[in-house]
Amino acid sequence: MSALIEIRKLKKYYPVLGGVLRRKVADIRAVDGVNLTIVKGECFGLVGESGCGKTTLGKTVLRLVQPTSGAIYFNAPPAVLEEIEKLEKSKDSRRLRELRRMYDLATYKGIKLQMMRRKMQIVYQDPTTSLDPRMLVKDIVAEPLIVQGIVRGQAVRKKVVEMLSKVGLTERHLLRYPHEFSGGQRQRIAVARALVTNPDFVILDEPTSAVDVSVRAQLLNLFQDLQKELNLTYTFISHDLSVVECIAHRVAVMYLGKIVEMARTEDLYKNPLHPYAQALFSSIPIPDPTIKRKRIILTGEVPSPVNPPAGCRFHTRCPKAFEICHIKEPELKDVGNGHLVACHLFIEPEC
Amino acid sequence: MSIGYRLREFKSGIRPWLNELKFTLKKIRKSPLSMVGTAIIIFFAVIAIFAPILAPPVDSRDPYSIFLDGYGPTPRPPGSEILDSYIRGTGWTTHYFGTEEGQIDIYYGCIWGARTAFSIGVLVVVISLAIGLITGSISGFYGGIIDELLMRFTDIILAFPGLVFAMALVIALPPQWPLDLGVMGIGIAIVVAIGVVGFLLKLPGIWRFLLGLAGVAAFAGLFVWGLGSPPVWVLRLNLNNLDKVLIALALVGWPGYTRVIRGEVLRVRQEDYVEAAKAVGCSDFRIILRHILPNTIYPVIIMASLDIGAIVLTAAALSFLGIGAPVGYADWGQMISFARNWVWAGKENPWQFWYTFTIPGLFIFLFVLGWNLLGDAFRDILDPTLRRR
Amino acid sequence: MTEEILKVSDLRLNFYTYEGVVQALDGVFLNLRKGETLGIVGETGCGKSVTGLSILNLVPPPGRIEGGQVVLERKGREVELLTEKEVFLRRVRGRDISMVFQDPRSALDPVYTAGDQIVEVLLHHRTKELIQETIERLDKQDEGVRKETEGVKKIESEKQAKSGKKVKREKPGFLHNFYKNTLQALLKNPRSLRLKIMRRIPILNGYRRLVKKEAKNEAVEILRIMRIPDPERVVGMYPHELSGGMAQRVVIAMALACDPDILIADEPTTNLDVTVQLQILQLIKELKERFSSSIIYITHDMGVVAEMCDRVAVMYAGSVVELAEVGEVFKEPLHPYTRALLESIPRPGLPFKSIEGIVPSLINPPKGCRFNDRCPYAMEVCHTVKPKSVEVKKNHFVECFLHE
Repeated sequence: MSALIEIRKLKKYYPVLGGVLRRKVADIRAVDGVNLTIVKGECFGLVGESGCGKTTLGKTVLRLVQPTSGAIYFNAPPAVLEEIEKLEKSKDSRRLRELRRMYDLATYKGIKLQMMRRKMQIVYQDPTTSLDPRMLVKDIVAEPLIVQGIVRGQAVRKKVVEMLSKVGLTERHLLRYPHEFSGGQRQRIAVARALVTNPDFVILDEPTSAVDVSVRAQLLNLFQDLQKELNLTYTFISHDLSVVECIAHRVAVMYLGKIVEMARTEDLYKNPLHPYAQALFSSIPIPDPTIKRKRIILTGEVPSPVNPPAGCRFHTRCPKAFEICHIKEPELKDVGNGHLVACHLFIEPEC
Repeated sequence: MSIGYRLREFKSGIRPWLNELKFTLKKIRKSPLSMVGTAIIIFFAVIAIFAPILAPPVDSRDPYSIFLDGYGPTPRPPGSEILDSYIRGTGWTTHYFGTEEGQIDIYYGCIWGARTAFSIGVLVVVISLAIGLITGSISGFYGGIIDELLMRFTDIILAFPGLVFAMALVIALPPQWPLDLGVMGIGIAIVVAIGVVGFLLKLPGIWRFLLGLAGVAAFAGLFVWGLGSPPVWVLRLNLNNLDKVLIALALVGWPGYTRVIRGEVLRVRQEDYVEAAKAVGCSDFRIILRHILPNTIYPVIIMASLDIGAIVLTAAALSFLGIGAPVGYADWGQMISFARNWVWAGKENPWQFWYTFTIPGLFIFLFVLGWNLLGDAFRDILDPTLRRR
Repeated sequence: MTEEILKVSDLRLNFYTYEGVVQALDGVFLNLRKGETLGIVGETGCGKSVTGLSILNLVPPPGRIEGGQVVLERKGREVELLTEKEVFLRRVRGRDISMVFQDPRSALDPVYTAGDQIVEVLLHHRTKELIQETIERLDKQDEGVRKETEGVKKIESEKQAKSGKKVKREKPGFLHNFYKNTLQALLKNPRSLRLKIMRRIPILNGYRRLVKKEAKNEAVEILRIMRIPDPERVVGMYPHELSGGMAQRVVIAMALACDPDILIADEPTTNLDVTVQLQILQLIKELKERFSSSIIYITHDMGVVAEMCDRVAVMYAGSVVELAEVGEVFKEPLHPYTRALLESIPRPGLPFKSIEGIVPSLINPPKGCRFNDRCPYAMEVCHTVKPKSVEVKKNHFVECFLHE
């Protein structure tokens, strides 16, 4: 199973300008050193609360937001990745730069960036604002084709109709405006727009949060069917943990710009190891009044990403924190079966 | 693609505009003031369009010059007979609204003045709007230092007093302005060079080199052409004072639009669909043209309609002062300027020459009122928070 | 048999929009018992928020209540809220029935501090109590001063006895007494002309400042009850400085400041993170105990319903299709819509089931039962006649011909 996307030490900082001369005073560390591998053909879930950086991470991978530092390797064969690792240690910069220019999305510019946009697309959370209210549906879905120059003239219409039928809409819907549709249908139009250029990778940014529960199931079905049919790789970003449980193969939990735990869905939901993940999963309201579960209620609020706490970022609210958590930041460690945790409880202390 | 499909496509393309129009008309009908405003503007539009029929020109080469019936200084009341035989020959019989000082027919002046008013108002607003749209959308979309520079430049223009600038231009520009294309050639060369350099910075490798070469060649050619221009390449623009006023007002009128558009663009810029367009690979130009502008243009339409009235009023004021329409030109403001000495005509029967200033004044008043009411109506109608009541 | 504190019967509401008449509520039947949490659950457009608003007659135009009754049990008497005038309703809102809205940021005025907004609520409803408390505080101050002066006087008189001079009597300051008298007059006759004039004069109206200060102390106490850390500081903060969870707590504080009998919560945690949602839900549970209110909890999340509510009303397209105890509804849903809704909740490992069709347009609602085009059990009669609410089992009401 090859890695489609390999993210190495990705950082995105937003500068905070202050003072009379508006100089940079501090950084909002939206994404602060993320290492991630997304396997081809999987649905990768990214969960966390607001402000944790999951949406920023998704948009940075798509280069909608410029990364501050780090690398995003797209479709790099494992041999190349190994070579890059070795080169980074030995600091052979010329070969490294060459390889990076070929595979690292963070370095793409101009035409290369344009071509890359065909392969990676995004579906937004709110279909009301993500579709231009003054464009006909057929123009909305056709725009990627025209801009990328993939097809011209008559073929555009054919492709648009083909795409719409894949998401469950018909030719009748071509000549209408987005506000004439329901929320679920609008989201399907957004999906059609994202898939019309035949991308390999799609970021789904909370695609079911703005629709009703009954429509959610339709959309989830659609995502699964399309993934099988078109061989897509998804990153499903959401704060709704119950939905992610149903559709993702692997899930990562983010907190304040870093990944704190990552594992296969069943492993993670059955047995969360990181205290934050435990609190997060215990707070999901279960639609069954007979189940009474022990709830871990966290104290305080999420600290600001401008001044993240020293050491482990979660130590200010962690019920299990001890001394080393204030000082040193824990690394992501594999505790077996692909289950990674970043917590000092699982790191052997160096004696 | 069948004709039927094309037709349906066209129909759905304009369907939202039709729906908006229907909604707008319904709302206009509900508000009596908007009805009045619309009626007034339609009235003036009809007058302007049918001017050649309502007031057949005596001198067909220059319909805007009002015919003079003799040279007597005293204005004559409405209903007076036309004395000049030549004019009678063309079909005119009476001065319906009377005459001004110098026997300028008021009726003719008012009818053709409607055309003048429309042309001044619409032209100035269209030019200001165009400049405002371009500067506002670039400023709002790119932000940063481009925004700062453009906004400071806009501030400078805003500081210009419009009337004074108009007066200055009227005096400064000669009646025949020879535009030396040679000089223009250098100007165009500079602009092209800047454009090419900007464009080049976005392209890779070999394209850059080739285009750079082409750009340099173009620049050099234009420059040489500019320097050694033979006298043939000179364009002579005939500007009468009214045109100069027009230019002046257009040049100082755009900052208002710039600011409004900039505000709207800042709001729309962060909407998801703009980012989605970027994710699809749209160029900035395409995003601005096809996504941002159609969504930001409504407030500007309202401003523009209100502005038309204001511009006409300003032009009338300038014509009244003598800087503006040439003597004898059909312009309401100018007609009032001829009434200057006849407003109060002595102790006995002081208002005997009321028609000299009242009638053109009424035309101005109604025209500006109509546009103001219409602008207000547009604002009430197009304001999204009040819309669906 | 717990008594009913609020009863909604046959509530009908229309919105007169440009596109047509939206028949938003088509005969809503609800009842709220004392001390219970009633959940109203449904999807977008079913009318749950509007129901909450109509109870307090807060539906903005072009909405208009067309019929029905909302009967509130207030101070031992039954009051028909829909027929009452605005003046009376203003006394009810915030005092007997409070409402908490979905977005705390738009519920709070951004130019006033959190403290100011709570004080506003307190001043509006609990004026008399606050004035009395202020008077008491002033009295206490007087006591303090008097004790002090007596102490001083003792020393002085001892001195004086030694030196033989007269003692000056210490009295509390002139303004202080003046304010106290004004406040007492205010209590007795709040509408006197004298007071109305004095209100406008700068120094003379300082008594209002005193009452406000009292209210502010009260506000700090309330924030402490809301488990907001460091309430003295939070009282002076502006809404944009507060996080989502804190802002929602301030809104809840405003709602509960006057100890209302009923709290209507319209999706208060939808915009919040899931861990903060848990905190707020726990808080609401605690507060219910402490303030002994009854709660109407409007939401679209069945999980929250299971967590918070004793009874639940399921709404679809403007009417309550099922109303029963929470356990009943989850275990044995009787209405086809409830059943479909519960089945459509995504569960891992199981295929996703959705509900066929879309919510009908309320401008031209279907005849008969509004669920008829999506219901797998629809019969002839469902397309012609609207089903009435029937008590199928004890305390389990359903509007469906399958159960009539």
